[in-house]
Amino acid sequence: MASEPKNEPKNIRTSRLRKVVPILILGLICIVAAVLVYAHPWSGSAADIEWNLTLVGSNSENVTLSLKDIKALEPKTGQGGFFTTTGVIHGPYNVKGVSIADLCELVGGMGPSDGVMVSARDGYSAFFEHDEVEGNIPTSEYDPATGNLKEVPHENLGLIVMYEQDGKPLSDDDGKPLRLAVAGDDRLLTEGFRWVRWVDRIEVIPNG
Amino acid sequence: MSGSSARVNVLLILLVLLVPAVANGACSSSRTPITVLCAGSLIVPIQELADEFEAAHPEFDVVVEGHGSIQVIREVTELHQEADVMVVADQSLLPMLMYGNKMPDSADDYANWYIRFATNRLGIAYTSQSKYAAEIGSANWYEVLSRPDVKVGISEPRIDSCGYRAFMVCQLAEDYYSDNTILERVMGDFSPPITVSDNLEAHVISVPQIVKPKRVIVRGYSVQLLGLLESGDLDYSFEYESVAKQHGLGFVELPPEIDLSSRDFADRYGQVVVKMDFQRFASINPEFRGEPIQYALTIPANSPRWDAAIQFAEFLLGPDGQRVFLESYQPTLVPPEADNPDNIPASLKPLLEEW
Repeated sequence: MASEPKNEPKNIRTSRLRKVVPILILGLICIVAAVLVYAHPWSGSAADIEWNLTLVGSNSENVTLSLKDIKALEPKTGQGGFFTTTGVIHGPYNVKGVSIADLCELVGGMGPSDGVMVSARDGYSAFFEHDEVEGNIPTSEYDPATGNLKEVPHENLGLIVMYEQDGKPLSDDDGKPLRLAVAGDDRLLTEGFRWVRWVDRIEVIPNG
Repeated sequence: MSGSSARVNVLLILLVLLVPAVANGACSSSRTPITVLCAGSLIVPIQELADEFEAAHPEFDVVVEGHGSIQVIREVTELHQEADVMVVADQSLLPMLMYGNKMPDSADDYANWYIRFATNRLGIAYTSQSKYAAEIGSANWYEVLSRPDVKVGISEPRIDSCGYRAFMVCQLAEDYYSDNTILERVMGDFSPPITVSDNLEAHVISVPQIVKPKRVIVRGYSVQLLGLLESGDLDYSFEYESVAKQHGLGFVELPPEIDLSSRDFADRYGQVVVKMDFQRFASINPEFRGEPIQYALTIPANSPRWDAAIQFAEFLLGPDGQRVFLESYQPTLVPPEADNPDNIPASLKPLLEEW
């Protein structure tokens, strides 16, 4: 009899636990589901992905780099975003990757009359003349007064083969694992056709 | 912390986790999404149509994405994006890229029909601040654009259909006005040069891998030219009539013999070809022959919401769509016309007859 008052709270706790446990399990399921849903686009770090980037020089010298090789090169950071053919703005993002000029140096560099063809796994290509690789690309910002894009000057703009966007590996939709980005010191916007997704080949074109 | 307050905290955390999940589930289950991929020059009327369709049918959630017309198709056939309705600014692209193109793990093509429903014309956009705005017209536009103090813009011919069509218009103008200097005078020099050669069938304009103009101002997309016009950095730009008027710009209409608007002059338009040295898409031969601008719609065979897609297509092709397009300065084809009419879904067929 004397032990009953001590046992009663235990039973109450057990009963409450029976009620709480299913809720906790449900909550756990929700958390796992949320992690799966929200983390999916970049699940698996870029380092886990089998991906080769082929560099071809103007003299046909070629080098193939893995993602690990690329991330071992001196990183370049900047900021930039892009707009689509209908003027929809994406970004600006914090961009981290490798300068395309540095990559070209690995296969003999780029002369002033050379161009660079950047190609992707999906069959898309973009061509850049030497001036553009040097950062001579029109930049814009959104003008809330007119609702239009307004061209503005820039400094230190360049082409970066990006493997991190806003501190995270790229999602599939953003071109995982490598995307070409136009980025610089300012949070400016450039045309989306330059932002090649799923980059797998960079070729220096002589007298391009 | 007491036991009861800890339990309350646990419940609050669960609520925070569960409520958005339940709300999200409820929302997504109550409204059927319809994904519409459309050509950039149609974004204004299609978005308006989507809003009106949703107001009339609150059970649907229409998501509109604008791209270049080739990219509209590639999103489905090469990048395997789910789409319900596709609308392009160049009808010839649909049979080229979707007919005979089998869907993965299927014997069916991505599409075996399409419907032409709207047209457009190319002309010259300007503002009241543009130099010589008071005197430019369809008879002297090329003379005004050739003046050394006039700033002319075009979109990039390797990237944007409006860009290569601008070259077509200038070449057609040479024959129409019997003046073989128009293309060179309006566009100026490029380095390396853009050349024109004649063969038995056509004038062939060859665009090199680099487009580096010495006179005109080139931007990737025509949307950028609108901003430059309004800021005064440009006096004139080649633009579609609907886009110029939707943005409140002045518009110089060109003769139908050269503005790519009329099927009566299809043979004449076909005498100009623009050929790029640069292949942007592995699947597209970058060679474009002049033809009347005709917008077309299809529903990809793998649309995940076929019935919803049909309903939206009916709305777009029917009287509501006609009204919205006309309000957006987009000339329409009445009635719309089918390619492969036998394959058209039955509920769309009545829309192809005289109203």
